[in-house]
This record gives sequence, structure tokens and C-alpha cells, in this order.
Amino acid sequence: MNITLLPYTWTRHFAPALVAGSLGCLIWWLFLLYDVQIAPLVGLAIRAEGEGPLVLGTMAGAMAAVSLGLEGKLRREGLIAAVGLPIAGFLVAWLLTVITLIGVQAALPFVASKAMTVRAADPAFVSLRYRLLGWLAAGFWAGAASYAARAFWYRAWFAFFENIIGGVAAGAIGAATYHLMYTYGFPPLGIARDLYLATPLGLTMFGYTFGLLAWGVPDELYGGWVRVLSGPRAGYRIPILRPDGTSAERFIGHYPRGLDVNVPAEAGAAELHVSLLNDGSTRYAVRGLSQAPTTVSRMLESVDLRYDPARPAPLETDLHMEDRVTLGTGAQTTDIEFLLLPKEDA
Amino acid sequence: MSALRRLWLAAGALIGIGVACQPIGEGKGWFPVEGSSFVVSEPRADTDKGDLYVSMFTSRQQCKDEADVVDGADIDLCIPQVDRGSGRLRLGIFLQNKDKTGRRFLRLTNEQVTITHDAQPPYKWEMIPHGSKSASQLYIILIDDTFSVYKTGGMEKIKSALQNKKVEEAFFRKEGSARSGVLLLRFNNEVFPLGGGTLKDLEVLEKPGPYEELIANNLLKPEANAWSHTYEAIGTTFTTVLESPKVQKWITVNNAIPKVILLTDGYNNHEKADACKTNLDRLTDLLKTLKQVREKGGEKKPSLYALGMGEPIFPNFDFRINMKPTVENLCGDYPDQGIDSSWGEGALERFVDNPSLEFIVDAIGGEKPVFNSSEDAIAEMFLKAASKTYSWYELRYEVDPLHMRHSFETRVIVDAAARGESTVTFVGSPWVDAPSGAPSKEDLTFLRSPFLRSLAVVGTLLGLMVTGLYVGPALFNARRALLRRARK
Repeated sequence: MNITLLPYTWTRHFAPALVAGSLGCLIWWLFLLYDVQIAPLVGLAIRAEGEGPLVLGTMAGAMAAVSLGLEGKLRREGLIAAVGLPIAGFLVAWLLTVITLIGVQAALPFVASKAMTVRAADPAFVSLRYRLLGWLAAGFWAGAASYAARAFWYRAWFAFFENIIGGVAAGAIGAATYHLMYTYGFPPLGIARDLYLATPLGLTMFGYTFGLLAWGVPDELYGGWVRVLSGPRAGYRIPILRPDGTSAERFIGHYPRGLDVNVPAEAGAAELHVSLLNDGSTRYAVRGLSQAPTTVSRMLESVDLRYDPARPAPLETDLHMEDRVTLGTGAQTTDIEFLLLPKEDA
Repeated sequence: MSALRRLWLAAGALIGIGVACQPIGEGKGWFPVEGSSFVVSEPRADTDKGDLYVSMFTSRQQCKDEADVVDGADIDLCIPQVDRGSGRLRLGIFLQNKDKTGRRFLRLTNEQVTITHDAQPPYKWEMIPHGSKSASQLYIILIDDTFSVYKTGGMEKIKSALQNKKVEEAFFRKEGSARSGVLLLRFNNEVFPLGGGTLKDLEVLEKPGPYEELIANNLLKPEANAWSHTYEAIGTTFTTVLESPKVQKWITVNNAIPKVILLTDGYNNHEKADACKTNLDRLTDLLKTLKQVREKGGEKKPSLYALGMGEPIFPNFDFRINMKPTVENLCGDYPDQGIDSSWGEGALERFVDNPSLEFIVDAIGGEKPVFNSSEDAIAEMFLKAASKTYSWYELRYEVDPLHMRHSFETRVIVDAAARGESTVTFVGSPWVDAPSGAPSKEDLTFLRSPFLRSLAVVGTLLGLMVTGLYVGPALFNARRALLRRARK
């Protein structure tokens, strides 16, 4: 996946979710393929006791791997981050999930009620009550593995909540979906309760939720651009950030020398009309440097940025995706647009 | 990575596979159930409770290997199948001797088979016979020729039933190389061939003509001073008659299975003084003899079909396997009650001694005794004894699908001319399940869904996911194009 395929919209955060969810579905199908088709041919079946740890372990590992892999890919990191971290994340999550689930399965008969001891000990028993801990453990370790990798490599210490709590939440939602499907089905679509569909949907929702919560596509992968929408310079655009990615302030006006974007006076621009800047983080702003009409328009809002000489500093407002800055008034206007584009476009 | 680390990794992987996986297939104790995520264990037979080994088909290879039981065209019907979606299961069984030395081709009815799912009866079940077998049979009809049978009109009914065309056709049916023969015997104080002569002169009837003649010209009136030595008659039939040279030769030449059909209406009674408890020792001796006959019977064990022509003395008699006769269970509240009618109104003679018949059938093997004096019931008994046998049976049952969401045991108990039971365990995956089949409305079959149907789920979900990936950018670009902000 390439960042250029993800325009800066709110839907971009669903991309990791959709990829992880797809992987969850594929994992189910691969296990089904082995159980039904390959195991009879090779004469080696997965034990009922081992299937739970393997399925959920693989799921946990895959989720950690896909989340880390996507981040590495979108950040255009090197081989270590794009490939090595996901592999490490997979192995850690897989191993810890398998160990946890083996322990949980072994302990179940001792904690179950007397009447349910036999059932609790039966590894083939389909039950949310006796399997929920497995789902949660898988989510936890998926999150823990991806958090550890992010903290170590990207120094993202703050990502604890998204990764670990998100992982547990993903496990819970996966378990809930699995349980609902095999207990109630989906009557609006005429789907009767069916274990066959419960697992693929459960694993898909697990993956989807984990992908959504653990890592969203951050703003730092996008850079601000200025684009002229109208007038003689229509279509002209420049990035606000410098080629090396450091912050800068871009000036717009009709002064003939040294400005970043030159807009003719007859198009409504003052000598030094506005500047668009970045403060070194992901925040962009526009300053009104002239007393000439300057308006920032966004949905349901309009900001007048005309310079007030009585004020000690020019007015400034934050810029968001597709905000428009109008220079001039009446027939002599120029519209300028602020865009966030993937940094790859630089 | 160093060689040592690689070695550790490989060893760890092998150990992991060994722990997580189990071998399945022939000789491994577990077999995959085709088209499902279930495995089925090897059958465990309980041979203490009978002399039959109920074998269950657990794999396609086994169905192919038992070529003398399963016809090649029926192999797809023979393999076990489970559909968790509808709660339906199919299992094939065939019968062998207890020590697996030979096949037992029996005719089974639903009443003779019990099937349980985790010790509970299923909602519904059905049994379909396969592999119709034409085996030679020798029908030995042993008729109670005492006064009481004539008095109640029973003898007329017996004769009419024997002359029934369907019965005659069944007795003398020829199929392929299989032949059938009939021996007509009567008993009171002793056993005699119908039509006279001694047991040494027994001739097996192979054609309807002599058979019809014998029936028409005999059993016309009772003999004087005739007592009902029922136990002796049965013992003699299973020993002297079967071992007589001509009968033995006929059985051997035709490889026939002997079936004795007993028609009696009362008690074993030797003299006026006989009371119920008097029969205990006689019965015990007979049972010992019959058990010996059964044990050395081999593949062609004889069996007994008993019809009590009258009202059973203890209609609620509850016979249990391996039960032994005692005064209490044989006579109830009437141990000292006389049998003969000279004892007056309380005489036991007017009842059928059903406990004795149950013990006798249990000892020699055979169908559960029937108690009915109508002509139709008599004819039905003959037809049942003469009906076809089958080499294997397909059992299908249905339970609530919830009862398949854990390991379960399916037990089959056969209680027919011989008895046996077997159990298999099914273990399914709680995580993945094969595509559900389409259950039939007419019977308990289901159409197995092909595995590739699972691609519909994968394709749908993946398609939705991929579509979702493009919806955002597509909408973004479309909006900007409409607003004329798209880059030119």
C-alpha cells in the first residue's frame, strides 16, 4: 500500500482496518482449507486442543504484523521497519498468544463449575464463556507486540492506549461477533445461526477493529500545499514545507521579487498579502499581512484576516484541508486553496 | 543465523507440530469425516453384552476394503458424514461375529436397533438397508400339537397361515444360488415330523407341492394323552434335528442358515402335578443346552422366532440382558400354581409362558417373541422369518445442531437375532466449520456443499474490503471534479 493511494480524508483511517479485516478472513479460510481438504490428504490434522491457540495465535501475530507492516510501508521506512518489525511482531504475538491459550485451556476445568467440568475440558466445545479469554488474550498480545515495536522503533511511547486497549477491544468485538453469529445468526438477511459463518465474521471484525484502533494514518504523512484556484496563476501550486521537510513560511502577494507565489495586483493581491506557514508540527496556519480584503472560507465559517494596524500582530487562523483563502474583492479576486497531500508528492 | 539456532528453531517447530497436530487415517485411531472439520474415532465395541460385533464404517478406504459388504456403487453412501448446520449425521454399520471371524447378514428392523447421541435418543432417525443378500435358509416350523391349540381354533389359523400364498412364496423363494427349504415338525410329548416318521427320516421340503400336501393332510385333530413338552421340543430341534444326517447335509450343501419358528400357546407341562416352579430346573437345563448350541454355531448360527398364541402371563415382564431365570421372575405370585386345566380356573395353561420364551430366545438368539393368536400375526411371523437379509445398513439421524457443538458419542445397539453394540466419538473443530449442507425435506439426508463454496464468503468479504479501500479516494476525487478543483 502506498500513501499516494490514501488522500487526506477521514476515510483514510479505515485503510488499515480494511486490510487487517481482509487478512482475518483469509486466515480463517486457510485454516478451513487445511482442516477440510489438506489434513485428510497428508494424514495430519490439527488437534482440537491445538486449534484454538493456533487460530487465535496466528490471528494475533498477523494483526501485529499487518499493522506494523502498513505503518512501515506508508512511512517509507527501510527494510528493518517495513519487514523486520512485522516479522518480529508476528512471532512475539503468536508465541505469547499460544502460550496464554494453552494455559487458559488447561486451567478451565479447574475453574469451571462442577456441572460443566467435562464440557470445559472438551476442547471441541463451542462456547463464548470458555473461549472469551482466548479472544481477549489474542487481542492483548497483538496490541502488546505492535506497541512494543512502535515504542522501540518509532519512539511512540504514547501509543499504549491505542495498541493495547485497542487490541483487547478488537478481541472482544471479534468474540461478540463470533458468538452472535453462531447463536442468533443475522435474521434481517435471512442468515440462520451458523458456526460456519461465525468464525470468518468474527476474525474479520477482530482484524477490522484492531486495524482501526491500533494505528490510524497520521497527519505527519501529509504535507501542506498552496494551490491557486483562479486568476492568471490558476493551477500553480507549491508545497509549504521545504524539500527537506522542515517548516517554512510561504508568502503570497504581487511584489515582483522574492515571494513564493506571485499573484498580479489586478487579480486582487496586495504587495504582501498573506503568508501560509507550518509550525514544525502538523499545524498549518494563514496570516493576513495586508489591509486588503482577505477572507478564509471553510464549511459554515468565514474568517476575515485583514490586517488591523492597531493590533500588535497580524491575524492568523489555522488551515485545514481544502480551506480557501480569497484575496481581493469583487471582480478582482484570487482564490487560493490549502491542501494536504501525501508527502510523496513533494 | 547460526547453525545451532537453526537447529533449535527446527526442533521447536517439529515439537510444536507434534503437540498441535495428530496423525489421522488408517491405523491411527482417528479418521477425517469427509467434507467437514470433524474427525471420528475407531469404533469401540462392547462385546461383553452380546455375541455380535457392530462394525462401523469410518472411512472411504474401509468401505472399499469391505468389498464383500459394500457394493462399489454404494461407497458414497457408506462413508460417515456430519452436517453441523442441520444437526444431521450419517453412519454405516455392518455386523460380524463377536470375534470378527465372519459376517452376520441379518434382517434388522427399526425396533431392533437403538441409536443414541451422547446417550440421548436423536430427534429422528432412519435406517436404510443395503446389499440385499440372498442366503439359503432352512425354516424349521415347530408346531405345538396339543389339545389346547385345537380347542381355541389356533390350529386352523396355523394351517391357514402356512397355506398363505405369500408365506409359501417366501419359504420357497429362489434367488441366484440361494435355496430355501422347510421342515415341518409338531410336538407334544415328543417331536415328530409332520406326516409321520421319526426324526431320523427327516426330509427337507424344497418344493411347495409336498409342503401343501403335508399341511392339508395333517394337524386335523389332537392326540390323546398329549402333554406339552415344549422345552424338550425346542432342545431336540436345536440338537437332534439340526444334527440329523440329512438335515445336516442339506444345510452344508446349501450353506444355509437354520431358522426355527415356534408356535405354542401355553406352558411347558409334563403332567397334572406340574406347577409353575416345576419348570425352573427344566428351563435352566434347556438354556444351558441352547447356549452351547449358540457358541459353536459359527457364521450360520441358528435362531428362533417364537410366537405365543395367547395372552402372556406377565405382559409387563421386563427382560434384561444376561438375566437368569428364578422362581420369582418366572412365576411371580404363582410359583405353586398348577399348569394343567385340571387345576381349575386358576390353571396357568390358559396363558402363554412369556418369561420362558424370553429366556429361550435370549439364550439361542432370535427375534423378540410375539404374543398374538390371529392368523395375520402367524403369517406375519412366517414372513418375518423368511424376509431378506442385508449386508450393511445406513443409519441417519438428526439432533439439535447445538448438540454437535462439542465432542459427542454415537452409540448403536443391535438387539436382533444376536446382540451387540458399538460406539464412536466425533470431535469437531470449534473454530472452523465446513460449509453447511442443504438438508432434504423428504428424508434425513443432506446435500454436502462443495468446499469451494467457502470462496463465496472470502470473495464477499474481500470484495467489500477492497471496495471500501477505494470508496474514500473515489468520493474525494469525484467531489473535487464536480467542484472543479481537480488538478488539470
